[in-house]
Amino acid sequence: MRRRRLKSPRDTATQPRRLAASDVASEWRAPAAPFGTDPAGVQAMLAAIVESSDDAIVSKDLDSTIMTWNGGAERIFGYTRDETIGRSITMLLPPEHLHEEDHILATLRRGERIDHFETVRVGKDARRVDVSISVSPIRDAMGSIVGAAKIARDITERKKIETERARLLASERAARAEAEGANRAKDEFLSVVSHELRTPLASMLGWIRVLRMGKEEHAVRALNTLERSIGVQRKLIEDLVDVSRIVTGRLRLELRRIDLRSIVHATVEAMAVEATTKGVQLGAVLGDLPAEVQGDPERLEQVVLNLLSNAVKFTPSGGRVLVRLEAADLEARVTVEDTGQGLTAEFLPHLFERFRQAESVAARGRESGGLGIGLAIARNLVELHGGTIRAKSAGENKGAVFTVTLPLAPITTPAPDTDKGEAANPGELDVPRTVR
Amino acid sequence: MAGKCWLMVVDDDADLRGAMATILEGAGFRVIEANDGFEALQQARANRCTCLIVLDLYMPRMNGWKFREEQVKDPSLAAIPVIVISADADAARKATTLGVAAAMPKPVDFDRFLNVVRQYC
Repeated sequence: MRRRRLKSPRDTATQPRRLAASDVASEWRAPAAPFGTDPAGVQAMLAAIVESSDDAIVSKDLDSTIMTWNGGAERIFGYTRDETIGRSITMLLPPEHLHEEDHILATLRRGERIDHFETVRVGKDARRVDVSISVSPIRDAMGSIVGAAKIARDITERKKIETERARLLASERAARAEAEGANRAKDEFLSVVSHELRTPLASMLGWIRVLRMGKEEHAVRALNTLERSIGVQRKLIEDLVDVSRIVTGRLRLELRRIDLRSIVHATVEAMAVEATTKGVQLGAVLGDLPAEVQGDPERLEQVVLNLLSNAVKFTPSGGRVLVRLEAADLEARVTVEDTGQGLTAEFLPHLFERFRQAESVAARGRESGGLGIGLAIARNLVELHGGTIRAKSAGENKGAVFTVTLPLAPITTPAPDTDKGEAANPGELDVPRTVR
Repeated sequence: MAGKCWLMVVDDDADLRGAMATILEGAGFRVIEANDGFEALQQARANRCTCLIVLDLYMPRMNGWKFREEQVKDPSLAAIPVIVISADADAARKATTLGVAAAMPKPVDFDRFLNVVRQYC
């Protein structure tokens, strides 16, 4: 079948019957009315179909000049016929899509079609329109390609739906991955809890069996071990209760004005024997001036003790642990520095996460013991005091530095009627539900 | 009753290791202790006759898996039977990959433990 050149309305005004009607008339059976069966009627009907299409139906020559422009094109792009015919089709192409026209023309010149090419065009009001375009070459009476017929369908709504569906899918996948991760972390945590509770229990049952052997020479060691193992279990249970309180927002602080020097001093004393036994040098620099904060002494001691015991635990014999207390710029700063096994860059961001730490304990093989939730508890306690806790390490086997900052208590005035403010009032503080 | 070979208890938990050693000695076994896999290898190589190794899995420096790997590579140690004792709830399954004689959970059922030990020493 021979195809003829598609004419612009201006052309068809003068030569209205050249629009390929003969090509289709033989295959298409026209209804009797209103156009009749003569070629002019058929052509008028085809023109009416093109005109009434919801899709943009446009023709252009091989210089990209627009030749025809239907009602669908007006609706989709906002330009009238007069505004487009004679101008380049590139007026519809966003700058980043201009290269597409060269590709389209090259394809047409090879006599090939472009089907359902999804891209973006720009309307008169600068609105981006997602379109699916199909382009076919138009040939003249000699069969030479002289232009192209282009059908563009507005797929903006479909694209929006697709984008929204993809967003929902990605969001659902992310939520599922997060839930699975959290579940896995909790499973690991429960596994670690089980392991850590069984360990002192195994020791206790062992020494009870030894006591039942009735030999007096074992009694002292047995009782000492029982006492120590019970202490280990009590600490594990207290940590679990703390985590439960943090999760449910029921952790309470008993605030009063305290000098952090006494807290740090007490924890260093408490760790001295363990450090010496392990061959780790434990030092403290406390300063001469008080570092007073509004805090719960037991909880702050728990925080510093956690940092110190971790430092001693992860520092090999011959290493050093140094605690430093400074007060400056309205805050007190406790720094615990060790020369121990350090932290990897991958693990550092997850150090204070409640279950991630336990996950890591499981992954490392529980070789260091403990639930691995001490730092998560410490972070919560410090934050409830209005402070911060940070960790840094140059990497594995390069030591670690933990820094806790707490706001210094305001200087109290001697006048009895002075408004002391909330921070100066000792007593119980109901802590709101904590994050994470 | 136990022969003249030694039974080795490998566990980094000194309290439990001590209890097990005391119980085993009370049952007539000759016991040597090791704090981790590395120490266990040294002890086993130095000792000419080890009838059984009681092995914990999670230990610093050299864990139970690594110890077992080294043990089976050493012809002088490979034949020594091993009983895995672990607080890991999944210890029995994990131990199957090690090709050991038995696996028991912590806390240990000492009557059962002694019965198993008597099969080897």
